[in-house]
Amino acid sequence: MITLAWRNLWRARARSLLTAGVVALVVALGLALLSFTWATVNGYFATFTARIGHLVVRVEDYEKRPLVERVFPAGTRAEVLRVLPGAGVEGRLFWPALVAGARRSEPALLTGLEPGGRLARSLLKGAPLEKGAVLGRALSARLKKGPGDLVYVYLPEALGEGSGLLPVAATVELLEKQQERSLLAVPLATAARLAAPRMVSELVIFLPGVVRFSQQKRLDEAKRKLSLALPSGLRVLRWDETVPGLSGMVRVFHRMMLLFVGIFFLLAALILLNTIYLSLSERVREFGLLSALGMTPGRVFLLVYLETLMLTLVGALLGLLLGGAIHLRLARGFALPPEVAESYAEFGLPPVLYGELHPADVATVLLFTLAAALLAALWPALLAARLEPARALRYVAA
Amino acid sequence: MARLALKNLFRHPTRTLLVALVVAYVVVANLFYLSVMDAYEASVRHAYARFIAAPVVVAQTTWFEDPAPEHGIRDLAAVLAAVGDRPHAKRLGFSALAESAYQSEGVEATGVEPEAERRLSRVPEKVARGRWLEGPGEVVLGHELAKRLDVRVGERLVLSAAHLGGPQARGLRVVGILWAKVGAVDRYGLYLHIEDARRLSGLATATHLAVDAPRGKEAHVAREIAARLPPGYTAKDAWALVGPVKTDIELGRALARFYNLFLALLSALAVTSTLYVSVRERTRELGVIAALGLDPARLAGMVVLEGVFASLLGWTAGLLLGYGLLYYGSQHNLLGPIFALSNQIWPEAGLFEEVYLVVRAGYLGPTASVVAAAAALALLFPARYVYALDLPRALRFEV
Amino acid sequence: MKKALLISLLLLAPAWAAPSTEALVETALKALSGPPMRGELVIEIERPGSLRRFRLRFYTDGEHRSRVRVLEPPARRGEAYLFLGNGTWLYDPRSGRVIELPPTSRHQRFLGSDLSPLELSGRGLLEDYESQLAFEDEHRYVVVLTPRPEAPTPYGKLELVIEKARKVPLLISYYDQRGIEVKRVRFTEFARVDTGYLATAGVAEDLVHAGWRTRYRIERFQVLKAIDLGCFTPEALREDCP
Repeated sequence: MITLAWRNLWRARARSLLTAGVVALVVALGLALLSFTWATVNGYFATFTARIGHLVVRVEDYEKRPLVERVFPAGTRAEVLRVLPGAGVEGRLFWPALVAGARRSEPALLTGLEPGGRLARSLLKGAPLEKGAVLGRALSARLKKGPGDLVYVYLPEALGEGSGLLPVAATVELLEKQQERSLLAVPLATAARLAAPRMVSELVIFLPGVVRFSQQKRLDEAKRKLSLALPSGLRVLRWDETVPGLSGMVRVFHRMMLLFVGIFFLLAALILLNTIYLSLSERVREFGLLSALGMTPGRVFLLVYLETLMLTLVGALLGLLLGGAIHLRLARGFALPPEVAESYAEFGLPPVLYGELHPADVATVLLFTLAAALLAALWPALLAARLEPARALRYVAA
Repeated sequence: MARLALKNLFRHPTRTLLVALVVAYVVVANLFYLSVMDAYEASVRHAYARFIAAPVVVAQTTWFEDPAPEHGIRDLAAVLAAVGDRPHAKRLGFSALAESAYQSEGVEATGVEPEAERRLSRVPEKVARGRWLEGPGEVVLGHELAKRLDVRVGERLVLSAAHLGGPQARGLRVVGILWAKVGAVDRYGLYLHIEDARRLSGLATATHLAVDAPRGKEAHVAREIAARLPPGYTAKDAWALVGPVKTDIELGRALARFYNLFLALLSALAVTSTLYVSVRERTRELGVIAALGLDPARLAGMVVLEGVFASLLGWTAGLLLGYGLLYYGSQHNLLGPIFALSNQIWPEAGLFEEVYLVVRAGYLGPTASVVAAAAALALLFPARYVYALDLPRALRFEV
Repeated sequence: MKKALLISLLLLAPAWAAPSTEALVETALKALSGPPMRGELVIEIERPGSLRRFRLRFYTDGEHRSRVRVLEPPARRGEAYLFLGNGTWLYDPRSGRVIELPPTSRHQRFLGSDLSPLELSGRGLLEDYESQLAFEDEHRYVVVLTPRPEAPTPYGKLELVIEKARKVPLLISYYDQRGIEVKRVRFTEFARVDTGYLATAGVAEDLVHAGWRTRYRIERFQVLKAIDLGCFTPEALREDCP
């Protein structure tokens, strides 16, 4: 039966090839799109985690607490390193501040970062934090203070010195304008001295070797170990738990991509349907003959299905090859066209992206293909099975 | 010729319908995509026009670079004259420190004229708890800001600022909390009476003017006003004020063309392959007609017409179905939940959580590409086959 | 006739005997602001696990002008504050700058302590609050102070307990806008001066944070007949004055 099905396919070689080609194209497109999607997600992952770390240690109910209660001893860092040796740990301190310019003062957020650390590098883009304060460009413009000037900072309700004069080392432009208007970055030690000695608002943890969004399991494991070791009152959060809705966003994005791919597969199914129906209408007499010779309707049905599945399989294999090749190229690293890359760099997309495919994605694409084939062949197969041999034998096209 | 082509199509109604189905599907997918792109843009425009900024904003040119009371409107009379009798509202934006009993946070406060704002902006109608401003001494904030500061309706919030009038501080009563579903408003919005804003900022007039304009005419109105403004002042429409999210929208549009083409091609393939089969089946018949003297070119033309008609059928069905879907989507908030999530991550994008599909006659054009593609492919294959028919062989042809 | 006179006298007696609430509060607060004087003051800030100590020199006209200079700890020596009317200025010796601070700083922690400049000086309560006598017994008055609508203060209400005998403040309780007491300042020692009394020691407790407390004590003071107004300018903050 299988050989029969196979032979039948290649009787209308051009059409079969064309249809298989469409299937191949759609499969390849699906794989390419998914690889691209994960490349983008991983790109954002890299940028986000450079800014907020893989894990963050904070006090319980961080968002609900007043400022003074958001800080905890910086010494907790030692505990973190004990539980997660090899991890990068950086402290970060936030405190609201009022910054005086020549004439006016502006509200700002004093942000203490470790100079040369990953947080400082990703936020300040290389500005020399160790030399003094780094201001958001909008804040600097408001104060009319720039590199080389001194700014006076006043911290309400500070536990430390509460006020001081800081040299401005540089200004920096940020995507989030709200942040740019209020950024007053200083070395962590300075912030602590002014606001809360020997305290931090957050301990940001970077786990070595975590570069992809799909490595959540490693993060969860580390989070679990750390949670057990930390004193009560402190919580460990995964990076996406600190930004509400972020992981949901990724899931939605992925699902939307799947939906998009699904739309193409439905089209492929319709085209398949078209082809099978066409091939059927060409072979009405032949099916009549097969029936007359004793082939049961069930086997006729099966024959049509087999032909469809084989055709789809050929297409899918070709598509896997093509899609796989595209994915491999993407996985080596690719860049978007310059204007596009520049705009999206503002959103945090890195210039070079790396494609990624999960087995689940490949399985999904194959499943879509199978579903398309099954759907497409249903009606024609039924038609073929229900052909009356006598009438079929007498059938004349046109 | 055309009638013949049409009749041929319906000799195998099922085949024709299947082909039309493929074309219809492609048309619907295309319409949907185009509409979603437009809906995205419309949503952002709406958010900027009625929540974050205004249809048209008039201010000093320097204010647009650095929005601070220092660059406020000095010559208010001249500016108002340029605006004419268009509905407008004065606004005073300034940075301040908001302090509750528990928290303090730097904010961008906006002093407004409560009644004028009602006519221009949708923010006043989005007060979820309490009420909109009625007079000085009051403040309304976005619900996320209120949560961060831990203030409730009826409590006092202290606002302090230092601009043109030196350090100033004022206790204001929270009278309303907003739930606008626009990130920028809910997360950072703080509105007070313009009189309080004047006292706190030291600016006696306003920093900018919000001017109303009918939808779609904002850029035009902005240009008209700009032409009449004194030097140093300009008017910008809401879209000009939109930030980086513009790129995302424009990229989506660029991709639409690619998407369109790809789908059109695939559907044309379906049409062509069916056409090809049908032509091959009729080889003898076509041979006869050719033998009877009909010009092969015309015969080929007929074949092309068959392809075009089949596509047209699908196109029409697709348009009916597609526009029906779009209409439904224009009345129901289908895409809202997706935009709501984006709002969380990126509140300044100006994404509005009520997104309605756009219905435009302009979509007809792009979707017509399916018909064009079908015609093109039909020319390339089945028509050529017919044109190059070898009569003697054709007459003896057996499928 | 005599009866009418007696009755009217009796009716008027409470008005004579009981001072108006404003006057009462004013008198009590005078014990905090004191007469024109200068002196030295020690502030101890207690936190769980730490204790910080400041020694300050102060110079005040008892009304709207005072200046404070940090003597200890050595790291902060030279830092100076000027309270003039509604304005607050700060001199930072490290930079040599004098800067104006926002009005809300009057209500906030002075030098990180649990006392605000307002509490140390006793000023501002009259301008920003309306007072009402809530309760009295033979030893004390309890006055409730409610913020005026536009006063830049986040508190919901204050309770001031005044000793009847000496008309000195014994206790100020600060409540947030939800009725929860968040701070309590007790005045424990008083010295007799020409104009009445001066509170020379007190304790402020931050009720929101366990173990947060600030003690202050005026170690020495000298009442003055005349004040050098030139000392009370922002520029004059750079030097010790007079």
